[in-house]
Amino acid sequence: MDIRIFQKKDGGVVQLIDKEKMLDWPIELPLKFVEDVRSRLKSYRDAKVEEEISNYLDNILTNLAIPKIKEAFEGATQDTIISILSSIETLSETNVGAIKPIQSQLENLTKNTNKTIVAHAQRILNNLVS
Amino acid sequence: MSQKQKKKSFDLKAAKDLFNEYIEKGQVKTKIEFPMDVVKIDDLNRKEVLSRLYKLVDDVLTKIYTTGRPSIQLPSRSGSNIRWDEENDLLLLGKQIMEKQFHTLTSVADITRLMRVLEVVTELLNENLHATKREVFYTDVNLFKEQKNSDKSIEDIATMLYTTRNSTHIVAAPRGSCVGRLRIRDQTDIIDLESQGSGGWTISPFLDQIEIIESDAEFILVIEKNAAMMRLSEARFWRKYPCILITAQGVGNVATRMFLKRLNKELNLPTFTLVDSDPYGHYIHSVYLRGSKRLSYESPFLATPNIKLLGVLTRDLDKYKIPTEARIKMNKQDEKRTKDLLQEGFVKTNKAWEMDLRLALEKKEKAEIQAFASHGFKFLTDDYLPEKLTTGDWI
Repeated sequence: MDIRIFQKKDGGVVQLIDKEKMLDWPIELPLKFVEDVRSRLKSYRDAKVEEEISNYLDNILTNLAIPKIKEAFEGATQDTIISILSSIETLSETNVGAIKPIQSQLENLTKNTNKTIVAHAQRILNNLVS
Repeated sequence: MSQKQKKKSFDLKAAKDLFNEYIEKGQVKTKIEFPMDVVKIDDLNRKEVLSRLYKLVDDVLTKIYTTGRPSIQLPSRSGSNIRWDEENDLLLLGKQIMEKQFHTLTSVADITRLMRVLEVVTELLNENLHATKREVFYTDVNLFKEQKNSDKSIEDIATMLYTTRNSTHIVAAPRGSCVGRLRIRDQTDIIDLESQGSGGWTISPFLDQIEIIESDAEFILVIEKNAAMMRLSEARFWRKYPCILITAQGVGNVATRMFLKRLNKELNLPTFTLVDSDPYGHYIHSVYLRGSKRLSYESPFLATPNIKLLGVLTRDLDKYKIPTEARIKMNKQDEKRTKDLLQEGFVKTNKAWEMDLRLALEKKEKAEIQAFASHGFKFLTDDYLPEKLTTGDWI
């Protein structure tokens, strides 16, 4: 299954890519996707569908987006972490809500020995506070 | 238009019913069963194409060592080898094989060009790059002389490898655009097709890098002309009627047709064309429907067999009271094209389509989509399209 279908009462549908298809995505992208869809939930104009999609997004967040980022923060090379943080920083400038689920991981990174990593993590956290 | 007509409301019932029918059935067709007498073409990844390419070169080398007279065999793309598969409504390539000899005077230029393109394809695949047909021509202008020669070699290479042209990483220049209720992923970017300005998102020829990630559209509308696309874009047609709009500005190029096919297949959406009411418009619809003769070997990856011709139908000219001055008299070429279309198997088996073309021949009239502007600029978006999608008045 490549697409999940959510049927609306008015006969319309919302179709979302299946979680399995996101496994090969760049690490920070599932998080971006979750927040992107969450921001348009109201536009679907169907309470039941909103709830179903919200649950699906929570599932992606808990079982894919956050573990992927956590795993990268713990095991990837410093260059990879910097690259991911750079993308997350850009995301935090426009959609700070997307960053909240990884706040504790970012706080851990502020204790990193690499100054660039610390600077990125700090700037993202600052965006979260402001 | 009268006040009474202006107050009409449209629920797009017929289009919604068709959509629900598709959803209930599941994917329209997940696997196509091809007739026995056609060649099978595959959409391959980089590694698979390279593997086929090396095997082809190995075979040529073996022939050089064993016979000293190398040759290459490939399916013929001549008209006599094109089959119309009635069941799948597709134009496909038959099993007639032609042989290109390396050692004759007549074939030396052709085979040298072919080998040059093969070299370019190898480089593109190894480097994971894409090039347009025009760029391939410029890799060796002296050898190719004209772009039609390099284009022919590009198609020969794809046929020789039994794969699609896109699989060889040679792509058409971007021409089509898309706008509406759709979000896609292009590598690291999420692109919202509702926020791409009035021009929409230019359909990328690098479709292997594109992924459909979200949509709440209920149908797809393919529009022949950019002017009509602009009219719908300006009206933000997709906001009132959840849809995806596509135009290729004329006959659909490979990228547009391939993208449409993917949208139709993955989202399972009813798909319609809006073309001029003339034989060329009907031809454009037919290319989306069952592929073109020139690229018949790629039809399974380019055609959208369940696409409907929404308009502008010949019968619409009277029904929607298009004024005489907004209609155009058919010329001899229009009449010939209409007669040619009437000879096609896919028209003969579609009685409604045949009737509409016969009516055009009888009235000897045609009209552009823009002719609806004679009823006001909003008539197309507020009346014509919603009414047709509500009543199911399509072919």
